Amino acid sequence: MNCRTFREQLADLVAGELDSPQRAAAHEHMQTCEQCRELARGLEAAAAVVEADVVSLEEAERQTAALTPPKPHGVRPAIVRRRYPRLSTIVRYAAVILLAFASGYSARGWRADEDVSEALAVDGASRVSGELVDRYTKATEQFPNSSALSRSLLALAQR
Amino acid sequence: MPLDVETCFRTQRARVYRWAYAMCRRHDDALDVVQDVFLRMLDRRPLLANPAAAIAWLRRVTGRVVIDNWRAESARAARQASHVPTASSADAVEARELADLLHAALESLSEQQRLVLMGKCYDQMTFQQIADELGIAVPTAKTHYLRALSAVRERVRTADPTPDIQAGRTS
Repeated sequence: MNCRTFREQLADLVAGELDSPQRAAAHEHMQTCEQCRELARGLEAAAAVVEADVVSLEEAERQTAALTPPKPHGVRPAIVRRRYPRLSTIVRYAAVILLAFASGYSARGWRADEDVSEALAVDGASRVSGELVDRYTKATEQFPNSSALSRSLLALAQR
Repeated sequence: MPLDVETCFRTQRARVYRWAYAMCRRHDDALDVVQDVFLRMLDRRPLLANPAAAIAWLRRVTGRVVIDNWRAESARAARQASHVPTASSADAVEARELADLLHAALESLSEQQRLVLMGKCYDQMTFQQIADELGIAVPTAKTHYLRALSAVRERVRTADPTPDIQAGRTS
């Protein structure tokens, strides 16, 4: 056996898979070739390190006897949707609406009793034509005892 | 056919423990690895046609879980903190050093090299069986085996260059 053949059979030799004649030939080569001998001995030592402390299946069975099979993770409960909103939701919406109304009232005030001409003037001359103001003035002269709302409606109707 | 993880656990847990213990050299770590491996099986439900395929899957995942645990810094710190030598102090230190060498060597291997080494050294499979399981050629399996052993040998040689280690002190 030469070095090339020896190295081709090295894995089988270290793993113990060579038959007797081949093993004998390999050992004979190792007697004569120091390099191959060193290589084989080093690999056998490495295999011994890896195989050290490998327990038997019986021992492993004993060590794991107390283990319990893992359980699947908990299933999340399905989210149940209510058909009707909660009372608290209704109260919240109502509060928002009231707040919006109160904000509007505090900002603009209640103008039902105010003079419409003032309101129209405040709203801007661009939205009220001069002609409309003239008619309102004329209606005031014609019906001095009428309410501001009546005079405004009359002015609009004449338009 | 759906995989029955509980049955698989009962029949294969000892095998997984054996692999894990051979790699970790620590009982508690090996038990943790067994739980982790079967939790992964429960989560992923791999399609395994037969028991041989299940064993191959378990061997591959066991190697990955062990390596992942080593790489996790917290696990490393916990391992150092919880280390209580059971043998005499000198023996324990030597065993720990040897285990660390093995960790470093196994971590440096490719997955196929590690699987070949596990099949050969832990399960005494033939190269033909390993090649069939991994779907590789027999010469490739032999090459992986020799390279894996060379990596271990290099680690041992680097750590302790005395000739008695190289000549197989542990054997």
